[in-house]
Amino acid sequence: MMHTPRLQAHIRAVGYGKKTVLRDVELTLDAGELLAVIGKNGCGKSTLLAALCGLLPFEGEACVDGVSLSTLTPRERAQRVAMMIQQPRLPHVTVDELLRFGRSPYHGLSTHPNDTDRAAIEEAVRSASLESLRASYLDRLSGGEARRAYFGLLLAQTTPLLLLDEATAFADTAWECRMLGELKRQCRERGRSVVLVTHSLEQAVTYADRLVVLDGGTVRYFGTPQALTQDEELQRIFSVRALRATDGEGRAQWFFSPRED
Amino acid sequence: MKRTNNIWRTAVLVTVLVVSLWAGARFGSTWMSPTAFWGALLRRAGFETQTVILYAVRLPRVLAAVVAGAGLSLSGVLLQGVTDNPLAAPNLIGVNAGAGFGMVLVLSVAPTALSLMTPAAFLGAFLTTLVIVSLAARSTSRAALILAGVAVSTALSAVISCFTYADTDLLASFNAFSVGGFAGVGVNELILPAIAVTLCAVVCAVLGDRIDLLCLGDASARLLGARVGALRLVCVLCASIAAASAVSFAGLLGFVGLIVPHIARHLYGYRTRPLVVASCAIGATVCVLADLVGRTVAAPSEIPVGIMMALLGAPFFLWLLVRRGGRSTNE
Repeated sequence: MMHTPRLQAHIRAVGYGKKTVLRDVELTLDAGELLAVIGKNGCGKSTLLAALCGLLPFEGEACVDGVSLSTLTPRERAQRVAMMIQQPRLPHVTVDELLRFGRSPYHGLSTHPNDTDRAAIEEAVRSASLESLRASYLDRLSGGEARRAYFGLLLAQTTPLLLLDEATAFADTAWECRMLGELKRQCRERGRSVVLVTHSLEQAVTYADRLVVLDGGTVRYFGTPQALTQDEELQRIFSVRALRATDGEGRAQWFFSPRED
Repeated sequence: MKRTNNIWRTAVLVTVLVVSLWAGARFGSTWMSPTAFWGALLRRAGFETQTVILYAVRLPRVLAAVVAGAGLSLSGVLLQGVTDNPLAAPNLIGVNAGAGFGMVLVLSVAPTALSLMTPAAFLGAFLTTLVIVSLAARSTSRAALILAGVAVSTALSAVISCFTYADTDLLASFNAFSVGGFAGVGVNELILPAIAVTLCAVVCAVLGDRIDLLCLGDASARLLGARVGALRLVCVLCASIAAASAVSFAGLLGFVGLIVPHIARHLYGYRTRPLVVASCAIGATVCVLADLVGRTVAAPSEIPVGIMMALLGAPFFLWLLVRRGGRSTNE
């Protein structure tokens, strides 16, 4: 039987108006894998995610579980791909109401929650640690709490593919570790696949199964994240040098420090 | 808790509307005793004069106020939602300028064709909105609709001024239309506008759960499967039809389409379905009460409802704003 990847994308060109931001991007991602997308500011990381989730038209094709996203209705697409955007709006709605919105792709004109919706929302509340914030209004939350609520919305949508754009911005260290751990759990236990846009090279090396480095409007590297710790050329893109340390239990940890040359 | 509060609010809202409808029919420039009122309502013998006053004057006025109030408020609540602008009102999408232009055109070409006035005002308002919507559709910005509305309205107002500047009779007729009011409106004139407003409210209530997603912003709404462009177009067209229906017989009633959505949102939050129902009910109540005060406070003279609404509504709106610490109800 032929193996169907979770995500298979070939983007020939994508951009805004006449300006092309990315060319010739080919990606594949299997079920249960986490792909980190890194690159310098303005290299097209967010543009890539916007294309993959259908917010931005592009030349080429993106398939989830073998189904081309361009053939799907907006609701069908929202049942396959969920995305956490960089700057979500904070209207005067409660966290509970926000999570209920996550179930709207599965309903027609009425979004009255059924048992499946309620179970998905409860799990999202636990996974995003939102128990104490359920009745709070989004516009009264701190930046970090509001993004946690949107992380809950992402999980409540129960899609096989999750896209996250700088999801750990505003997060304290404890929540950052908890969130990335939760994403790995979603991959491992639920078979979901994650595309994570991040500025943190440490996050990419520690949590990703695959790595994409964007530079100069195209893919500079696609493969295992360990390459970032070994390939001097890749490190030069970010003007960093990889440093290896060992924790108290003998496990290797990688850090990246600015390079002088 | 929230559901219980909403039940109480709705009960109070319905009670106030029913009481205002009763008061609108019961009181006026001619005094009617309770016995005469019930006698007229039930068309009993001996109350013929009161029956004529009630059925030919007061009830049509009350119905006109209900339809106009509901239509303008529905329009305002939809526009404030889709443009994400607390100052959005029917006049911003060209309803007033378009209706005025339609009226002025008929008044100058065929001043005696009274039957053409209402359709001309409706068509003027609706077609102007269509032009504004199609101009704004070329941009992805939410502000484009308002900016296009301001530009087209300004141009039409200039044309209206040209017509009225040259013809003083036209100016007098246009002034009466621009102040707004329900005097002389017949029940037959209200049938089509009432059907149009009801249909718009039903369409928006049916699509309510999808429209709710727009409060998260375009990107998040699209990620949740909403057809953002189509939903916004439906809302703007419903807003246009509802407001055009109201101004076609009531004239350019300002303010109700601006303040009532704020009161409704203050009471019911962001959800479209309760907002549609509440804004229609509150708008109807406000118009009925403003008209009642306008025709009784200086009886037998009459203060036009548009003036009454501005006089009563502006202080109330300011009070609401001060009470909320300067925050708009969209926040």
